[in-house]
Amino acid sequence: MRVFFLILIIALPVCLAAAEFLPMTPIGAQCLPVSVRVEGEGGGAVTVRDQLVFDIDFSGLLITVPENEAFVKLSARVSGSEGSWNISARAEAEGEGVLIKEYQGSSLHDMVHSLSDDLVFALTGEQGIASTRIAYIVRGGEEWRLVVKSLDPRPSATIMRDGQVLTTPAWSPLGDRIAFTSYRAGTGDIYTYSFTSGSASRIISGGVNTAPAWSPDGSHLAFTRSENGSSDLWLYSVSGGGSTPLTARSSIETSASFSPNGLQLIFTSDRVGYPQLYWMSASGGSAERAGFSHGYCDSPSWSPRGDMIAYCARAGSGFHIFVMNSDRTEIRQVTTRGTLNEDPVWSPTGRHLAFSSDMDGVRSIYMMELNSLKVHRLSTGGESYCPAWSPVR
Amino acid sequence: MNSPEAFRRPPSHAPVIDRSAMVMSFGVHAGMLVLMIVAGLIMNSGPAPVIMGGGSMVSVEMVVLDSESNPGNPGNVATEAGDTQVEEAVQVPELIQELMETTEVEPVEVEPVEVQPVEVEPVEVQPAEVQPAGQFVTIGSSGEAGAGAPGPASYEGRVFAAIRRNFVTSTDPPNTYRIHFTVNLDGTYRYEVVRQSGNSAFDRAVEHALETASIPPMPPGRTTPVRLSIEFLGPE
Repeated sequence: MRVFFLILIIALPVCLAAAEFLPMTPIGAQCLPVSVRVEGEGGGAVTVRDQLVFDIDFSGLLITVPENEAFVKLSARVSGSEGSWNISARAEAEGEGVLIKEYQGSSLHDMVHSLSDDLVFALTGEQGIASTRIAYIVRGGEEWRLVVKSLDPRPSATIMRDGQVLTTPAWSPLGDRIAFTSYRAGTGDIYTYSFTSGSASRIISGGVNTAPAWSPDGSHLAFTRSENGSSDLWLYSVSGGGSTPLTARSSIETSASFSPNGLQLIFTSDRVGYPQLYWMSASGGSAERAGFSHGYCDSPSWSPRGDMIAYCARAGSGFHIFVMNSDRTEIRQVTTRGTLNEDPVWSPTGRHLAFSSDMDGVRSIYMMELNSLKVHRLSTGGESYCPAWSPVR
Repeated sequence: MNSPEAFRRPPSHAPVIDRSAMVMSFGVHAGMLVLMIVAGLIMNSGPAPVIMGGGSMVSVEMVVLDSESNPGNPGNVATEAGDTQVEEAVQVPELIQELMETTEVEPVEVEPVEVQPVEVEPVEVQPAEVQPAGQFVTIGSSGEAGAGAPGPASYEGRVFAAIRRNFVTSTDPPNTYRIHFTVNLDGTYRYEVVRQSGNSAFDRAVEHALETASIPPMPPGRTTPVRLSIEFLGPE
């Protein structure tokens, strides 16, 4: 009996202490259910509701549900008229106000994107992507356009138009510039378009220069230079330090993408006879093969969270988008439709991909939320390719 | 004040010895002594005697239980050696894990003249349907943390979810990893490690989840910091 009480005395505090800890098992992303109620007169309320539901469902972090199933209740009241709108929003989670805010402006879509991103941040602590934009190339006949599109039904805005090839845009980390390749001068040169000045200027020439990729701090551009029969990776210093080669091989080295910390590059090389992914230091040196999954791998893109790499690979009779963990432990095919899915780029939060695909016939720009693999077509009309995702505003 | 005389004064009532009481007292003590000796002989004897009696008597047989089949055996519960053996047995997977890590084959560059492209057919991934709300694994009162846990949409529940969002591991550790997590009113946060898991890979997964978590801002109107005690478990 004495021993029994001794055990009880020892075990009871241990049991009580264990019960205070909330158990957490490993799991992927899960969505918080949110109900949306929008009040107001006219078409404004319909526009707000439709866009709110799309933004929330595409966030990858929240999901819209009927009010009786919701953990979070969002109500919004729309007032005003064309050109001057007001949205009064309130979100409650278990009776506690988490977002109480007024939005005013001339564009309902922009206001709803701001509200959606605010809601995502208030509930999850993560940045939303509703207010971001995607740039891409549209080809129509003998005309190439560099366009920018918001993630809603509004038409795209053309920022560059040329009778010569425009290709491989890359949005700067600060969001103020887009680097791209133009053949206006006869050979491929790299230009930057400034949103501040509304014009573009040539920054890299000599040889054929393509596929610019910004370093995460915006201080450098890695790019491919083809001259004298070989294609190598080069590094351009935006602050004026000129360009230096990173590789010097007879094989083709191209499609560089920086790691989020800026210390490494992943790129495509055909040094073994066919395109494969390699990574190396961002200052050059020896490279290591990054994967062995497919006989043809190209267009790698390192996620901004650093945990995954998206790329294009030949699978069966077509080309599809794959995502692998950056430690090579898992490879996922994320597209199954169409025969030409390519140019994957990450959203700034690393939860979405944009890519070009012919899954609906004409090559177009698509967005995918990686948790649900939901796909939305972004571009409308004309052959569209080479997407570049803006940073979070 | 007492005089010395008082100490020499004989007691007013001299003791009277009662012989019959003395005999009875001796008899009682002797009887008890005999009973104790008899009881001792019975307890130390070999096989227990079977007590035979009438219909109203109960037959009791003493047996020796096997130590493993008797969870109430104090000897089993109290011994430290038993616990140590369990710890050692559980740590075997960790050793295997480390061996696997250290014996990882480095990729070798292949010369183009020797190797033909080998297509590895990827597993077809069908686009998944949107998760219904019911699949949201919560820590609410009906969730896995049991009664008293914060609701999934409460601030505490959302902090929990923010950490869990980046907690990815397939390792089953010997112990759970325990922390105290505190979010201050200004949105800054810190955590104290109460106990590590005993598996380095699992510990790294927990630390990654904690370091990369995006903690939601404190709701307006809160006046006290939030403190959560969390224990990280292996896959379900």
